[in-house]
Amino acid sequence: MKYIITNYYVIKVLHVSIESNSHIEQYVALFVTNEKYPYLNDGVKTKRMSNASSISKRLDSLYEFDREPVSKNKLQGIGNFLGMYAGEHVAGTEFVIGMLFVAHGVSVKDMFLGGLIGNILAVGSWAFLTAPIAVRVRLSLYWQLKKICGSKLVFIYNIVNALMFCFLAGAMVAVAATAVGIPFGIQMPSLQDLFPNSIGWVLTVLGVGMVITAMAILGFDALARFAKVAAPWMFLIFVTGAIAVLPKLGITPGASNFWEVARDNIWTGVARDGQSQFSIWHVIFFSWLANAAMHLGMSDLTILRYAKKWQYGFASAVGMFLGHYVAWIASGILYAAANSDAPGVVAYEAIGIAGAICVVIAGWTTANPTLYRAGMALQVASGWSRWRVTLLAGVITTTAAMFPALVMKLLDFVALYGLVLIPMGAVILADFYIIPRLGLQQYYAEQKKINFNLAAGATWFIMLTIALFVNFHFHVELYFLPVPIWIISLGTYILFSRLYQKPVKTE
Amino acid sequence: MMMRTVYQMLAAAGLALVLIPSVLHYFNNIGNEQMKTYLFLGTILWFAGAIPWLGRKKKENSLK
Repeated sequence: MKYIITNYYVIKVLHVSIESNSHIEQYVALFVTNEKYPYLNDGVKTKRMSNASSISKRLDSLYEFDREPVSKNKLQGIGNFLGMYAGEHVAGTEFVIGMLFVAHGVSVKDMFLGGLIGNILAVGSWAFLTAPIAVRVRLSLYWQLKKICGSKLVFIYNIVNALMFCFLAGAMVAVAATAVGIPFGIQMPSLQDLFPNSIGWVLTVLGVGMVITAMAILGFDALARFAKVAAPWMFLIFVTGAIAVLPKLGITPGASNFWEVARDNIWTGVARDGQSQFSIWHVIFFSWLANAAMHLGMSDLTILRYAKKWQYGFASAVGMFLGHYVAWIASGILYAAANSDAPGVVAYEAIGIAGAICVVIAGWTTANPTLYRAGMALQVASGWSRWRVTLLAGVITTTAAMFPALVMKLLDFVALYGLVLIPMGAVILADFYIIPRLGLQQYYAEQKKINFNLAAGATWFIMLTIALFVNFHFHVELYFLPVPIWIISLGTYILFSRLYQKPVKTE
Repeated sequence: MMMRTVYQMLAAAGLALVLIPSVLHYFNNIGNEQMKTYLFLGTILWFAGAIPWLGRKKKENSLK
Protein backbone atom coordinates (compact mmCIF):
# COMPACT_ATOMS: atom_id res chain seq x y z
CA MET A 1 0.00 0.00 0.00
CA LYS A 2 1.38 3.35 -0.96
CA TYR A 3 0.53 6.61 0.65
CA ILE A 4 2.17 9.89 1.43
CA ILE A 5 2.93 11.32 4.81
CA THR A 6 4.68 14.64 4.80
CA ASN A 7 6.88 15.90 7.54
CA TYR A 8 4.27 18.49 8.17
CA TYR A 9 1.58 15.95 8.62
CA VAL A 10 3.63 13.96 11.03
CA ILE A 11 4.64 17.03 12.98
CA LYS A 12 1.01 18.00 13.20
CA VAL A 13 -0.04 14.50 14.04
CA LEU A 14 2.53 14.38 16.75
CA HIS A 15 1.81 17.84 17.98
CA VAL A 16 -1.91 17.73 18.43
CA SER A 17 -1.92 14.71 20.62
CA ILE A 18 -2.25 15.78 24.21
CA GLU A 19 -1.98 14.66 27.75
CA SER A 20 -4.18 11.75 27.95
CA ASN A 21 -3.39 10.47 24.76
CA SER A 22 -3.41 7.43 22.86
CA HIS A 23 -4.47 6.41 19.41
CA ILE A 24 -2.43 8.91 17.56
CA GLU A 25 -3.03 6.75 14.54
CA GLN A 26 -6.40 8.38 14.42
CA TYR A 27 -4.69 11.65 13.67
CA VAL A 28 -2.47 10.08 11.11
CA ALA A 29 -5.62 8.80 9.48
CA LEU A 30 -6.95 12.31 9.17
CA PHE A 31 -3.95 13.66 7.42
CA VAL A 32 -3.21 10.91 5.00
CA THR A 33 -4.06 11.78 1.43
CA ASN A 34 -7.75 12.16 1.24
CA GLU A 35 -8.15 11.05 -2.38
CA LYS A 36 -7.18 7.61 -1.28
CA TYR A 37 -9.16 7.47 1.93
CA PRO A 38 -11.95 10.02 1.55
CA TYR A 39 -14.18 8.31 4.08
CA LEU A 40 -11.77 9.21 6.85
CA ASN A 41 -12.90 12.80 6.71
CA ASP A 42 -16.36 13.10 5.34
CA GLY A 43 -18.12 10.23 6.95
CA VAL A 44 -20.03 9.40 3.79
CA LYS A 45 -18.26 6.18 3.08
CA THR A 46 -18.17 5.37 6.76
CA LYS A 47 -21.93 5.54 6.83
CA ARG A 48 -22.16 3.34 3.80
CA MET A 49 -19.79 0.89 5.39
CA SER A 50 -21.78 0.74 8.56
CA ASN A 51 -24.60 -1.06 6.85
CA ALA A 52 -22.43 -3.73 5.42
CA SER A 53 -19.54 -4.32 7.71
CA SER A 54 -18.90 -5.86 11.01
CA ILE A 55 -17.27 -3.88 13.81
CA SER A 56 -14.01 -5.60 13.07
CA LYS A 57 -14.09 -4.59 9.42
CA ARG A 58 -14.98 -1.03 10.32
CA LEU A 59 -12.10 -0.86 12.75
CA ASP A 60 -9.70 -2.26 10.19
CA SER A 61 -10.93 0.23 7.61
CA LEU A 62 -10.24 3.15 9.90
CA TYR A 63 -6.73 1.97 10.47
CA GLU A 64 -6.17 0.35 7.10
CA PHE A 65 -3.49 2.74 5.93
CA ASP A 66 -1.05 1.86 8.69
CA ARG A 67 -1.51 -1.87 8.68
CA GLU A 68 2.12 -2.32 7.60
CA PRO A 69 5.10 -1.41 9.77
CA VAL A 70 6.52 2.05 9.11
CA SER A 71 9.06 1.85 6.31
CA LYS A 72 12.57 3.30 6.58
CA ASN A 73 11.89 6.26 4.30
CA LYS A 74 9.13 7.49 6.58
CA LEU A 75 11.18 7.61 9.74
CA GLN A 76 11.43 11.01 11.39
CA GLY A 77 14.33 12.93 12.89
CA ILE A 78 14.70 13.77 16.55
CA GLY A 79 13.51 17.37 15.98
CA ASN A 80 9.96 16.23 15.25
CA PHE A 81 9.82 14.29 18.49
CA LEU A 82 11.26 17.11 20.55
CA GLY A 83 8.67 19.49 19.06
CA MET A 84 5.82 17.08 19.56
CA TYR A 85 6.59 16.30 23.19
CA ALA A 86 7.21 19.97 23.99
CA GLY A 87 3.85 21.02 22.55
CA GLU A 88 1.88 18.08 23.81
CA HIS A 89 2.65 18.46 27.47
CA VAL A 90 1.91 22.14 27.91
CA ALA A 91 -1.86 21.91 27.93
CA GLY A 92 -4.97 22.96 29.78
CA THR A 93 -4.46 20.23 32.35
CA GLU A 94 -1.23 21.89 33.53
CA PHE A 95 -3.19 24.87 34.88
CA VAL A 96 -5.15 22.56 37.14
CA ILE A 97 -2.51 20.04 38.20
CA GLY A 98 -0.03 22.63 39.51
CA MET A 99 -2.86 24.27 41.47
CA LEU A 100 -4.07 21.02 42.94
CA PHE A 101 -0.59 20.14 44.21
CA VAL A 102 -0.64 23.37 46.22
CA ALA A 103 -4.17 22.63 47.44
CA HIS A 104 -3.10 19.14 48.54
CA GLY A 105 -0.38 20.61 50.73
CA VAL A 106 2.69 19.55 48.80
CA SER A 107 5.81 21.01 50.46
CA VAL A 108 8.40 22.94 48.49
CA LYS A 109 10.95 20.12 48.73
CA ASP A 110 8.33 17.56 47.67
CA MET A 111 7.36 19.65 44.66
CA PHE A 112 10.86 20.28 43.32
CA LEU A 113 12.50 16.98 44.26
CA GLY A 114 9.46 14.74 43.83
CA GLY A 115 8.66 16.33 40.47
CA LEU A 116 12.24 15.83 39.34
CA ILE A 117 12.32 12.15 40.33
CA GLY A 118 8.85 11.41 38.94
CA ASN A 119 9.57 13.03 35.61
CA ILE A 120 12.90 11.22 35.28
CA LEU A 121 11.02 7.96 35.87
CA ALA A 122 8.46 8.93 33.23
CA VAL A 123 11.17 9.70 30.67
CA GLY A 124 12.86 6.41 31.54
CA SER A 125 9.59 4.54 30.98
CA TRP A 126 9.23 6.06 27.52
CA ALA A 127 12.87 5.46 26.62
CA PHE A 128 13.40 1.99 28.04
CA LEU A 129 9.96 0.40 27.77
CA THR A 130 7.91 1.98 24.98
CA ALA A 131 10.50 3.15 22.45
CA PRO A 132 12.47 -0.14 22.08
CA ILE A 133 9.29 -2.06 21.20
CA ALA A 134 8.09 0.77 18.94
CA VAL A 135 11.25 0.84 16.80
CA ARG A 136 11.45 -2.93 16.49
CA VAL A 137 7.83 -3.62 15.63
CA ARG A 138 6.99 -0.24 14.03
CA LEU A 139 3.27 -0.85 14.29
CA SER A 140 0.61 1.39 15.77
CA LEU A 141 -0.98 0.51 19.09
CA TYR A 142 -4.13 -0.60 17.32
CA TRP A 143 -2.45 -3.19 15.11
CA GLN A 144 -0.12 -4.37 17.84
CA LEU A 145 -3.06 -4.90 20.18
CA LYS A 146 -5.15 -6.53 17.48
CA LYS A 147 -2.46 -9.11 16.74
CA ILE A 148 -2.28 -10.02 20.42
CA CYS A 149 -5.83 -9.54 21.62
CA GLY A 150 -8.13 -9.87 18.64
CA SER A 151 -10.59 -7.37 17.21
CA LYS A 152 -13.38 -7.75 19.79
CA LEU A 153 -11.10 -7.04 22.71
CA VAL A 154 -9.56 -4.08 20.89
CA PHE A 155 -13.07 -2.82 20.24
CA ILE A 156 -13.86 -2.87 23.98
CA TYR A 157 -10.54 -1.15 24.65
CA ASN A 158 -11.48 1.57 22.15
CA ILE A 159 -14.84 2.19 23.78
CA VAL A 160 -13.29 2.47 27.25
CA ASN A 161 -10.77 4.87 25.77
CA ALA A 162 -13.55 6.91 24.16
CA LEU A 163 -15.34 7.38 27.46
CA MET A 164 -12.11 8.42 29.15
CA PHE A 165 -11.49 10.91 26.37
CA CYS A 166 -14.98 12.37 26.83
CA PHE A 167 -14.37 12.94 30.52
CA LEU A 168 -10.95 14.44 29.93
CA ALA A 169 -12.37 16.76 27.27
CA GLY A 170 -15.12 17.59 29.78
CA ALA A 171 -12.53 18.72 32.31
CA MET A 172 -11.02 20.99 29.68
CA VAL A 173 -14.42 22.45 28.74
CA ALA A 174 -14.90 23.27 32.42
CA VAL A 175 -11.43 24.87 32.60
CA ALA A 176 -12.26 27.06 29.58
CA ALA A 177 -15.61 27.95 31.16
CA THR A 178 -13.87 29.36 34.24
CA ALA A 179 -12.35 32.02 31.97
CA VAL A 180 -15.35 32.57 29.71
CA GLY A 181 -17.59 33.16 32.73
CA ILE A 182 -15.47 36.02 34.12
CA PRO A 183 -17.16 38.89 32.22
CA PHE A 184 -20.57 37.52 33.16
CA GLY A 185 -19.72 37.47 36.84
CA ILE A 186 -20.86 33.89 37.31
CA GLN A 187 -20.25 32.09 40.56
CA MET A 188 -17.14 29.97 39.98
CA PRO A 189 -16.83 26.51 41.50
CA SER A 190 -14.48 26.06 44.43
CA LEU A 191 -12.31 23.12 45.46
CA GLN A 192 -15.17 21.62 47.47
CA ASP A 193 -17.75 21.80 44.69
CA LEU A 194 -18.46 18.46 43.08
CA PHE A 195 -21.86 19.30 41.57
CA PRO A 196 -23.02 22.28 39.47
CA ASN A 197 -23.09 25.24 41.84
CA SER A 198 -25.20 27.74 39.88
CA ILE A 199 -27.36 28.21 36.82
CA GLY A 200 -24.74 30.64 35.50
CA TRP A 201 -22.09 27.93 35.64
CA VAL A 202 -24.30 25.41 33.86
CA LEU A 203 -25.16 27.90 31.10
CA THR A 204 -21.52 28.91 30.65
CA VAL A 205 -20.41 25.29 30.36
CA LEU A 206 -23.25 24.63 27.96
CA GLY A 207 -22.21 27.55 25.77
CA VAL A 208 -18.51 26.61 25.80
CA GLY A 209 -19.33 22.94 25.19
CA MET A 210 -21.56 23.80 22.23
CA VAL A 211 -18.95 26.04 20.64
CA ILE A 212 -16.13 23.53 21.15
CA THR A 213 -18.24 20.69 19.77
CA ALA A 214 -19.33 22.74 16.76
CA MET A 215 -15.74 23.72 16.04
CA ALA A 216 -14.60 20.11 16.36
CA ILE A 217 -17.26 19.09 13.84
CA LEU A 218 -16.57 21.93 11.41
CA GLY A 219 -12.85 22.36 11.52
CA PHE A 220 -10.77 19.86 13.40
CA ASP A 221 -7.87 20.30 11.02
CA ALA A 222 -7.73 24.09 11.37
CA LEU A 223 -7.99 23.82 15.14
CA ALA A 224 -5.18 21.29 15.27
CA ARG A 225 -3.00 23.81 13.48
CA PHE A 226 -4.17 26.57 15.78
CA ALA A 227 -3.10 24.43 18.75
CA LYS A 228 0.36 24.25 17.28
CA VAL A 229 0.48 28.02 16.86
CA ALA A 230 -0.67 28.56 20.44
CA ALA A 231 1.79 26.15 22.11
CA PRO A 232 4.93 28.34 22.45
CA TRP A 233 2.87 31.33 23.55
CA MET A 234 0.97 29.22 26.06
CA PHE A 235 4.17 28.03 27.72
CA LEU A 236 5.44 31.60 28.01
CA ILE A 237 2.13 32.69 29.53
CA PHE A 238 2.63 30.09 32.28
CA VAL A 239 6.13 31.40 32.96
CA THR A 240 5.31 35.08 32.67
CA GLY A 241 2.25 34.67 34.90
CA ALA A 242 4.39 33.13 37.61
CA ILE A 243 6.98 35.90 37.36
CA ALA A 244 4.25 38.55 37.43
CA VAL A 245 2.87 37.43 40.80
CA LEU A 246 6.25 37.08 42.54
CA PRO A 247 6.07 40.64 44.01
CA LYS A 248 2.55 39.95 45.28
CA LEU A 249 3.85 36.89 47.10
CA GLY A 250 6.60 38.97 48.66
CA ILE A 251 9.53 37.67 46.63
CA THR A 252 12.01 40.51 46.33
CA PRO A 253 13.94 41.37 43.14
CA GLY A 254 16.89 39.01 42.94
CA ALA A 255 14.80 36.22 44.46
CA SER A 256 17.05 35.91 47.49
CA ASN A 257 14.02 35.04 49.63
CA PHE A 258 12.40 32.73 47.04
CA TRP A 259 12.78 29.48 49.00
CA GLU A 260 11.61 31.07 52.20
CA VAL A 261 8.46 32.50 50.58
CA ALA A 262 7.90 29.31 48.59
CA ARG A 263 7.97 27.31 51.84
CA ASP A 264 5.75 29.68 53.79
CA ASN A 265 3.28 30.93 51.15
CA ILE A 266 3.21 28.59 48.16
CA TRP A 267 4.01 24.94 48.84
CA THR A 268 3.31 25.12 52.53
CA GLY A 269 3.11 21.41 53.27
CA VAL A 270 -0.39 21.88 54.67
CA ALA A 271 -3.42 20.72 52.70
CA ARG A 272 -6.29 23.15 52.23
CA ASP A 273 -9.67 22.43 53.78
CA GLY A 274 -11.26 19.26 52.48
CA GLN A 275 -8.16 18.17 50.54
CA SER A 276 -6.12 15.06 51.31
CA GLN A 277 -2.51 15.58 52.40
CA PHE A 278 0.10 14.80 49.74
CA SER A 279 3.64 13.63 50.42
CA ILE A 280 6.68 13.42 48.19
CA TRP A 281 5.52 9.95 47.18
CA HIS A 282 2.32 11.40 45.76
CA VAL A 283 4.30 13.87 43.69
CA ILE A 284 6.76 11.22 42.48
CA PHE A 285 4.09 8.71 41.50
CA PHE A 286 1.75 11.28 39.99
CA SER A 287 4.54 12.88 37.93
CA TRP A 288 5.69 9.47 36.78
CA LEU A 289 2.23 8.17 35.93
CA ALA A 290 0.38 11.26 34.70
CA ASN A 291 0.95 9.87 31.22
CA ALA A 292 1.04 6.21 32.20
CA ALA A 293 -1.35 5.39 29.37
CA MET A 294 1.28 6.64 26.94
CA HIS A 295 4.40 4.92 28.27
CA LEU A 296 3.50 1.96 30.50
CA GLY A 297 0.22 1.66 28.58
CA MET A 298 2.15 1.72 25.29
CA SER A 299 -0.10 4.22 23.49
CA ASP A 300 2.98 6.03 22.25
CA LEU A 301 3.99 3.01 20.21
CA THR A 302 1.99 4.80 17.55
CA ILE A 303 4.23 7.87 17.68
CA LEU A 304 7.58 6.31 18.45
CA ARG A 305 7.29 3.80 15.61
CA TYR A 306 8.44 6.71 13.41
CA ALA A 307 11.65 7.09 15.47
CA LYS A 308 14.97 6.20 13.86
CA LYS A 309 16.35 4.94 17.16
CA TRP A 310 14.89 3.87 20.47
CA GLN A 311 16.89 6.63 22.13
CA TYR A 312 14.33 9.10 20.71
CA GLY A 313 12.19 8.07 23.66
CA PHE A 314 14.34 10.46 25.66
CA ALA A 315 12.76 13.31 23.66
CA SER A 316 9.87 13.00 26.11
CA ALA A 317 12.14 14.79 28.61
CA VAL A 318 11.37 18.09 26.86
CA GLY A 319 7.66 17.65 27.46
CA MET A 320 8.10 16.41 30.98
CA PHE A 321 10.38 19.17 32.15
CA LEU A 322 8.68 22.06 30.34
CA GLY A 323 5.10 20.95 30.92
CA HIS A 324 5.13 18.68 33.93
CA TYR A 325 7.78 20.53 35.87
CA VAL A 326 8.13 24.20 34.89
CA ALA A 327 4.42 24.65 34.01
CA TRP A 328 3.21 22.81 37.14
CA ILE A 329 5.51 24.90 39.31
CA ALA A 330 4.33 28.07 37.52
CA SER A 331 0.65 27.27 37.98
CA GLY A 332 1.29 26.50 41.66
CA ILE A 333 2.85 29.95 42.07
CA LEU A 334 -0.11 31.54 40.24
CA TYR A 335 -2.58 29.72 42.49
CA ALA A 336 -0.80 30.73 45.68
CA ALA A 337 -1.19 34.39 44.71
CA ALA A 338 -4.85 34.08 43.72
CA ASN A 339 -8.14 34.41 45.54
CA SER A 340 -9.99 31.75 43.60
CA ASP A 341 -9.90 28.04 42.80
CA ALA A 342 -11.04 28.59 39.21
CA PRO A 343 -8.14 28.47 36.72
CA GLY A 344 -9.62 31.23 34.56
CA VAL A 345 -9.88 33.63 37.47
CA VAL A 346 -6.43 32.67 38.76
CA ALA A 347 -4.84 33.52 35.40
CA TYR A 348 -6.95 36.67 34.92
CA GLU A 349 -6.02 38.03 38.35
CA ALA A 350 -2.33 37.51 37.60
CA ILE A 351 -1.93 38.79 34.06
CA GLY A 352 -5.28 40.11 32.90
CA ILE A 353 -6.99 39.36 29.61
CA ALA A 354 -3.99 37.48 28.18
CA GLY A 355 -4.24 35.02 31.07
CA ALA A 356 -7.96 34.48 30.59
CA ILE A 357 -7.44 33.99 26.84
CA CYS A 358 -4.71 31.47 27.60
CA VAL A 359 -7.02 29.43 29.83
CA VAL A 360 -9.74 29.40 27.16
CA ILE A 361 -7.30 28.40 24.41
CA ALA A 362 -5.58 25.82 26.61
CA GLY A 363 -8.90 24.20 27.46
CA TRP A 364 -10.17 24.44 23.93
CA THR A 365 -7.08 23.10 22.15
CA THR A 366 -6.86 20.24 24.64
CA ALA A 367 -10.55 19.37 24.39
CA ASN A 368 -10.64 19.52 20.59
CA PRO A 369 -8.38 16.56 19.71
CA THR A 370 -9.71 14.67 22.70
CA LEU A 371 -13.24 15.04 21.37
CA TYR A 372 -12.01 13.91 17.99
CA ARG A 373 -10.43 10.78 19.45
CA ALA A 374 -13.59 9.96 21.35
CA GLY A 375 -15.56 10.42 18.15
CA MET A 376 -13.28 8.04 16.26
CA ALA A 377 -13.74 5.30 18.83
CA LEU A 378 -17.50 5.82 18.98
CA GLN A 379 -17.70 5.85 15.20
CA VAL A 380 -16.56 2.28 15.11
CA ALA A 381 -19.20 1.25 17.60
CA SER A 382 -22.07 3.12 16.01
CA GLY A 383 -21.22 3.25 12.34
CA TRP A 384 -22.50 6.83 12.34
CA SER A 385 -20.96 9.63 10.33
CA ARG A 386 -18.16 11.73 11.79
CA TRP A 387 -20.31 14.73 12.63
CA ARG A 388 -22.89 12.64 14.47
CA VAL A 389 -20.38 10.81 16.64
CA THR A 390 -18.53 14.03 17.39
CA LEU A 391 -21.85 15.56 18.39
CA LEU A 392 -22.55 12.58 20.65
CA ALA A 393 -19.08 12.87 22.19
CA GLY A 394 -19.70 16.61 22.62
CA VAL A 395 -22.97 16.00 24.45
CA ILE A 396 -21.31 13.50 26.83
CA THR A 397 -18.37 15.86 27.31
CA THR A 398 -20.49 18.95 27.98
CA THR A 399 -22.74 17.10 30.41
CA ALA A 400 -19.70 15.84 32.30
CA ALA A 401 -18.16 19.32 32.30
CA MET A 402 -21.08 20.72 34.31
CA PHE A 403 -19.75 18.80 37.30
CA PRO A 404 -16.81 20.71 38.80
CA ALA A 405 -15.66 17.42 40.34
CA LEU A 406 -14.08 16.65 37.01
CA VAL A 407 -11.67 19.58 37.44
CA MET A 408 -11.30 19.59 41.19
CA LYS A 409 -10.61 15.84 41.22
CA LEU A 410 -8.53 15.90 38.04
CA LEU A 411 -5.56 14.26 39.75
CA ASP A 412 -7.68 11.24 40.63
CA PHE A 413 -9.17 11.10 37.16
CA VAL A 414 -5.75 11.25 35.46
CA ALA A 415 -4.52 8.47 37.75
CA LEU A 416 -7.62 6.39 36.99
CA TYR A 417 -7.18 6.96 33.28
CA GLY A 418 -3.65 5.54 33.41
CA LEU A 419 -4.71 2.68 35.66
CA VAL A 420 -7.48 1.58 33.30
CA LEU A 421 -5.21 1.34 30.26
CA ILE A 422 -1.87 0.13 31.57
CA PRO A 423 -2.69 -3.58 32.01
CA MET A 424 -2.88 -3.75 28.22
CA GLY A 425 0.56 -2.13 28.05
CA ALA A 426 1.88 -4.90 30.26
CA VAL A 427 0.27 -7.46 27.95
CA ILE A 428 2.10 -5.92 24.97
CA LEU A 429 5.42 -5.92 26.82
CA ALA A 430 5.00 -9.51 28.00
CA ASP A 431 3.99 -10.63 24.53
CA PHE A 432 7.02 -8.98 23.00
CA TYR A 433 9.80 -9.99 25.41
CA ILE A 434 8.68 -12.89 27.55
CA ILE A 435 6.06 -14.99 25.76
CA PRO A 436 8.37 -16.17 22.94
CA ARG A 437 11.14 -17.02 25.40
CA LEU A 438 8.78 -19.34 27.27
CA GLY A 439 7.90 -21.22 24.12
CA LEU A 440 4.45 -19.65 24.01
CA GLN A 441 2.82 -18.10 20.97
CA GLN A 442 3.43 -14.42 20.29
CA TYR A 443 0.55 -12.54 18.59
CA TYR A 444 -1.78 -15.32 19.64
CA ALA A 445 -5.03 -13.82 18.29
CA GLU A 446 -3.51 -13.34 14.87
CA GLN A 447 -1.95 -16.78 14.80
CA LYS A 448 -5.09 -18.57 15.99
CA LYS A 449 -7.39 -16.27 14.00
CA ILE A 450 -9.49 -15.51 17.06
CA ASN A 451 -11.06 -12.16 17.87
CA PHE A 452 -10.86 -12.34 21.66
CA ASN A 453 -7.71 -13.48 23.43
CA LEU A 454 -9.11 -14.68 26.72
CA ALA A 455 -5.73 -14.50 28.47
CA ALA A 456 -5.37 -10.82 27.63
CA GLY A 457 -9.01 -9.99 28.34
CA ALA A 458 -8.98 -11.79 31.69
CA THR A 459 -5.72 -10.08 32.65
CA TRP A 460 -7.21 -6.68 31.92
CA PHE A 461 -10.56 -7.17 33.64
CA ILE A 462 -9.21 -9.01 36.70
CA MET A 463 -6.42 -6.50 37.25
CA LEU A 464 -8.86 -3.60 37.05
CA THR A 465 -11.25 -5.32 39.43
CA ILE A 466 -8.45 -5.92 41.92
CA ALA A 467 -7.21 -2.34 41.59
CA LEU A 468 -10.63 -0.84 42.20
CA PHE A 469 -11.28 -3.22 45.09
CA VAL A 470 -8.00 -2.23 46.73
CA ASN A 471 -8.87 1.44 46.18
CA PHE A 472 -12.41 1.20 47.59
CA HIS A 473 -11.85 -1.34 50.33
CA PHE A 474 -8.33 -0.58 51.55
CA HIS A 475 -8.37 3.10 50.54
CA VAL A 476 -5.08 2.82 48.69
CA GLU A 477 -4.96 5.98 46.59
CA LEU A 478 -5.19 5.64 42.83
CA TYR A 479 -1.77 7.23 42.30
CA PHE A 480 -0.03 4.25 43.87
CA LEU A 481 -1.88 1.49 42.05
CA PRO A 482 -0.72 1.63 38.41
CA VAL A 483 2.85 0.39 39.00
CA PRO A 484 2.00 -2.73 41.03
CA ILE A 485 -0.95 -3.45 38.75
CA TRP A 486 1.29 -3.15 35.70
CA ILE A 487 3.87 -5.51 37.20
CA ILE A 488 1.27 -8.07 38.30
CA SER A 489 -0.39 -7.82 34.88
CA LEU A 490 2.87 -8.98 33.29
CA GLY A 491 2.90 -12.15 35.39
CA THR A 492 -0.84 -12.70 35.09
CA TYR A 493 -0.83 -12.53 31.31
CA ILE A 494 2.05 -15.00 31.12
CA LEU A 495 0.30 -17.37 33.54
CA PHE A 496 -3.04 -17.13 31.74
CA SER A 497 -1.35 -17.60 28.37
CA ARG A 498 0.30 -20.75 29.59
CA LEU A 499 -3.07 -22.09 30.71
CA TYR A 500 -5.04 -20.82 27.73
CA GLN A 501 -2.85 -21.15 24.69
CA LYS A 502 -3.13 -24.17 22.48
CA PRO A 503 -0.46 -25.07 19.94
CA VAL A 504 -0.85 -23.22 16.67
CA LYS A 505 -1.00 -25.50 13.66
CA THR A 506 1.69 -24.59 11.19
CA GLU A 507 0.70 -24.99 7.58
CA MET B 1 9.54 34.76 1.53
CA MET B 2 9.87 38.39 2.48
CA MET B 3 6.43 38.36 4.08
CA ARG B 4 7.27 35.19 5.95
CA THR B 5 10.28 36.90 7.51
CA VAL B 6 8.13 39.88 8.46
CA TYR B 7 5.57 37.59 10.10
CA GLN B 8 8.29 35.73 11.95
CA MET B 9 9.72 38.97 13.29
CA LEU B 10 6.24 40.04 14.33
CA ALA B 11 5.74 36.75 16.18
CA ALA B 12 9.12 37.01 17.88
CA ALA B 13 8.27 40.54 19.01
CA GLY B 14 4.98 39.19 20.36
CA LEU B 15 6.74 36.53 22.43
CA ALA B 16 9.18 39.12 23.75
CA LEU B 17 6.26 41.34 24.72
CA VAL B 18 4.70 38.40 26.56
CA LEU B 19 7.80 37.68 28.62
CA ILE B 20 9.65 40.95 29.20
CA PRO B 21 6.89 43.05 30.88
CA SER B 22 6.49 40.54 33.71
CA VAL B 23 10.24 40.68 34.37
CA LEU B 24 10.10 44.49 34.33
CA HIS B 25 7.15 44.37 36.71
CA TYR B 26 9.04 42.01 39.02
CA PHE B 27 11.89 44.52 39.16
CA ASN B 28 9.43 47.36 39.85
CA ASN B 29 10.03 49.07 36.51
CA ILE B 30 6.42 49.02 35.34
CA GLY B 31 3.06 48.79 37.10
CA ASN B 32 0.64 45.89 37.17
CA GLU B 33 -1.91 47.35 34.73
CA GLN B 34 0.80 48.44 32.31
CA MET B 35 2.24 44.92 32.36
CA LYS B 36 -1.18 43.40 31.61
CA THR B 37 -1.66 45.75 28.65
CA TYR B 38 1.72 44.79 27.17
CA LEU B 39 0.96 41.11 27.67
CA PHE B 40 -2.30 41.48 25.79
CA LEU B 41 -0.57 43.33 22.97
CA GLY B 42 2.12 40.63 22.88
CA THR B 43 -0.59 38.00 22.59
CA ILE B 44 -2.18 39.77 19.62
CA LEU B 45 1.21 40.23 17.96
CA TRP B 46 2.10 36.58 18.45
CA PHE B 47 -1.04 35.24 16.85
CA ALA B 48 -1.01 37.83 14.06
CA GLY B 49 2.60 36.92 13.29
CA ALA B 50 2.51 33.16 13.83
CA ILE B 51 -0.79 32.09 12.24
CA PRO B 52 0.29 32.90 8.65
CA TRP B 53 3.32 30.60 8.73
CA LEU B 54 3.61 28.36 11.80
CA GLY B 55 2.44 24.84 11.07
CA ARG B 56 1.70 25.49 7.42
CA LYS B 57 2.53 22.67 5.04
CA LYS B 58 5.93 22.94 3.38
CA LYS B 59 6.02 20.83 0.25
CA GLU B 60 9.78 20.74 0.12
CA ASN B 61 9.78 18.69 3.31
CA SER B 62 7.54 15.97 1.98
CA LEU B 63 8.60 12.37 2.29
CA LYS B 64 7.37 9.86 -0.18
